[in-house]
Amino acid sequence: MDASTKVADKRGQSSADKRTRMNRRWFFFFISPWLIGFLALTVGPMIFSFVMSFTNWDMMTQMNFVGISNYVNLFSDPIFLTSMKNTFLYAAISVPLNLLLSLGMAYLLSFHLKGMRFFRTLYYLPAIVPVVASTILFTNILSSNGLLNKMLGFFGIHGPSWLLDKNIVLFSFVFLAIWGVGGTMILLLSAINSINDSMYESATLDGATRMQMFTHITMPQISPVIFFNLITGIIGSLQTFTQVYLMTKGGPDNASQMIVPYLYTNAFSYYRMGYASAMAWVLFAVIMVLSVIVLKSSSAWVFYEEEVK
Amino acid sequence: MKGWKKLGLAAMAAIAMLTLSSCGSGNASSASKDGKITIEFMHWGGTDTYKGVYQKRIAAFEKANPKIKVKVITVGDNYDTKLLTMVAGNKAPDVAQVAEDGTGFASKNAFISLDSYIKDNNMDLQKTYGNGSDLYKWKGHVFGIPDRGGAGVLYYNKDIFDKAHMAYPNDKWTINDFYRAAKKLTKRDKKGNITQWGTSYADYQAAWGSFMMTNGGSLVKNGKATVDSPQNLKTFTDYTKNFKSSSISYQTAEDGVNRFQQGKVAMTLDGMWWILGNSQVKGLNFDIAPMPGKYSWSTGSALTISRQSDKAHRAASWKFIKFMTDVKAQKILGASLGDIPANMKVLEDPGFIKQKITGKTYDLATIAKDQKKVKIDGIFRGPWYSEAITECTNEVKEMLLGHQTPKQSIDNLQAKVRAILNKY
Repeated sequence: MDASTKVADKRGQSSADKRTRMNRRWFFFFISPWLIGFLALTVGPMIFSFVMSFTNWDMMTQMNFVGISNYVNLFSDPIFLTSMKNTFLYAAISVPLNLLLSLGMAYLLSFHLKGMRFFRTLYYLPAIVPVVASTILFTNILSSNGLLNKMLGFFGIHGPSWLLDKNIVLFSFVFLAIWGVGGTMILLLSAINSINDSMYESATLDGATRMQMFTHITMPQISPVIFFNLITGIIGSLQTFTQVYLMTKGGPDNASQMIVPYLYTNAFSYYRMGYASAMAWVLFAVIMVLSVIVLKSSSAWVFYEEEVK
Repeated sequence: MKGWKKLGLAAMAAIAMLTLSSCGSGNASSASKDGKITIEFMHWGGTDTYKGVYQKRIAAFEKANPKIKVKVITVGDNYDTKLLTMVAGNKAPDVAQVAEDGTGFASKNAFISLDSYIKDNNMDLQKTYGNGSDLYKWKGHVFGIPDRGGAGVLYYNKDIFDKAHMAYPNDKWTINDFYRAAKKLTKRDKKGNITQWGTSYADYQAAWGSFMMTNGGSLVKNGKATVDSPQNLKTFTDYTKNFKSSSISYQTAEDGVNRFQQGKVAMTLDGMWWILGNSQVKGLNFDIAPMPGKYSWSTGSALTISRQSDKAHRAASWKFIKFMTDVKAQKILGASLGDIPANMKVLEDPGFIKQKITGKTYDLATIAKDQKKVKIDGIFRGPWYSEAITECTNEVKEMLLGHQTPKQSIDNLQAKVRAILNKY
């Protein structure tokens, strides 16, 4: 290699380096709004809230370090324990029910029949209604003399006071969750529709029944979407706020109190920001653990095509 | 590496700027070049409240004090949360309206003591504003001057009483007189469905709290829970019994219809703010009487000065509070009846008592009588108010719904209030 080639090579290398540097700068320039937002509005407050959870800060006077007493007190706070129980019960009922119903609806709506677009629109519509509007609507539907009890009365059934009875008030929120099933359904429907028809054709040639096709083709193919909905469903239901805040304010007698509204009340009505922060971190830990469990279990039931060798 | 360092520094600088800009002492009120000072005043309620209760008074204040301008912040909902976050962000308004939970803020040093101003102006709060003024004290220091007055009051439908040939409620009425009349005025159809209710009350403390105090009971005394007394058991037992026989049930009330305004309820116990609204209902022939019994629950509010106000703003803020709560401005408030004045001189003034509300006259002398009956329970005297009263209404509601007996409610509430007080 002569000297002139070496120089040309060096020049080429340095211009490539320059381009890489330039690209890197542009990369950071374009992601900087997100990066700054993430650091300032998510990571920053998270670190601050973690520090606060070890203090007795009331937002108005100086904060004092109280060690882990906020965390200890949480587990002797009867309303917090009730909120935990209510939140888990709500999640345990609403998430699987929501998935099952949306899966069934998506499967039925995937058939290529006349007028199917109308039904798809009809079932999806409730999902685009803002949660505030749907909650207010359900407050009226579920009142003692509301639409639901009037319908039950038509069949001779005397409906209960859905929002006043401690034992059943939680189911009112399940109704509300089911009403918005269209959001999950639309994702599952698009996943079902994206399955290659040739798979069903070859299965039909092999003599597979509709059920066998559903369990061996449809389910594995849409399992990543089910997995996504399961994770977001668990997180969303554990963070329920608006519905409780608007429909019952946690009542009657805390029977529908959930973690996030109780956390909010402690922070902003009872001047206990430190205690509320501890509550938030316990909830974060719970969500983390559940997400990891679902994530770990996913290898057993979630099927990714690119993983097949 | 260098690129990363630069990036890190830039990100840190951006965060620091954001943080500093949010934490800066941003009280917008300031002195301008022409020597005018602007103070911030925050109140709850919507634009209608501002127009009915404050607009004219503030205009009169600004006219009388041309060097002070008042910037009004009207908060429609979640007032306490807004005030709390403003205090936390060092942006508290100079003057803020507070009510029952003002002690919570005062206990956190959010307001200044008004003792020296009161002394300098020779003010007698008890004489001027009645017992309600006692609500705005923390550790012996006054933090608020009553502005909008009020106590629980009895509204009654005159037509229903006339039809039943019964005498109207009056200031001599006992709680039993009220219960008896309510029972008598409750009417049912042949199927047993109620067609006319004797009364309408529920878990609102202005009703059961007044009865409890009249019966000699209390919720908190000297910082200790005093719920499980025989007096309170009697109050809760009678209250539940009458609720079942004569009051609108929770199930019926869930539709949010105001049945008193529909002319289907003989008597209701509520705050004084309904006078104007009720007077505007066509065909509703009603009047007011003092809360039955010896004592009444306070439903008023006061004006405070923020600790975050500087010296110049504090002086201007005091001028504003003094003006708003004094006779001249209180007469303006009373004339519109957007709310009830707190100043007793105005409440007892013939001009206020004899005025026509929506073209009709009412027994407005009741208001001063009721204001004098106000008694402040120990539940108001600490930062625990919001938390404790929430549990009180929870337990009363469960009792009225028939899910638990008065004795169970009393026992539960004693345990709950005791546990709450221990937290503070």
